[in-house]
Amino acid sequence: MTIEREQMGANGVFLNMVSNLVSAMATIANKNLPESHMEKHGCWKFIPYSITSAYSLLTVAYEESLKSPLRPPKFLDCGCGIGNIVMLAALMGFDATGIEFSQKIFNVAEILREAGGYPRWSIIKGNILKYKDYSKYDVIYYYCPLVDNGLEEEFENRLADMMRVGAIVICCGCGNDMFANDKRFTGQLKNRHMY
Amino acid sequence: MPRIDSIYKAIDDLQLGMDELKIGNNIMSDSRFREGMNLVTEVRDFLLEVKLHVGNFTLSDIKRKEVS
Repeated sequence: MTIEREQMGANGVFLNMVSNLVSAMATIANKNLPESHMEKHGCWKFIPYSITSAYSLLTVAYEESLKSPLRPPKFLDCGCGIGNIVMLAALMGFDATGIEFSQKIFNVAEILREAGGYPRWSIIKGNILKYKDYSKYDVIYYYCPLVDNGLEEEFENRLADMMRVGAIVICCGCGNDMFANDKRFTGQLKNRHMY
Repeated sequence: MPRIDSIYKAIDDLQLGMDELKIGNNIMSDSRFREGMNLVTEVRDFLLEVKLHVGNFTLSDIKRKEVS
């Protein structure tokens, strides 16, 4: 254990601790979901995305957003689960919001949000397939929120249509290649990478 | 690292087996079978997560919208 600690350093130890805590909260959030959750609603249960990968992507988006720094950039996580990435975004300086469909997962996110201190972040109980305010955000992030590829495509089309010009999308873990091929969007702000 | 199509097949086989069991027996009324089925469901969900993480689902795009 000492060798592992020496190899990881303090930041590595903290990172592992945070990852373990997020995994534990994911287990709690998913525990009471009905077996039919995925089939009935087409949503994944909450699966945490890598904190380091998210940090790397959000750093690029934040620096890009600061090229026109009128206010803290507004960030939205579509299908945010317990809100761990929303919290990360808030800590990085974004005005951060998450949207979550499942009431049970939303309830856990609310506990985390209320206990989270500052900076504050917000969470909306809602459906990303019906959400109408995508144009309010400067950076929009999602990590493969929908099981069904057809619904995923519907969501991505809606998002691409409704996002404001100049806004940035961070699309993680989706197989549709929607934003890779949409001509309304410029080339990668960071090398496309297997995170 | 398992091949991704092996994972797809494992998920399909598990789902098929679960469906056949449910059709063939009223197993959910028997607590022993119910516990077993819950375990199989967990395995299936775990494999779905593996599929999500190791398939071609893990590429990330970060792009700016330039035109409407």
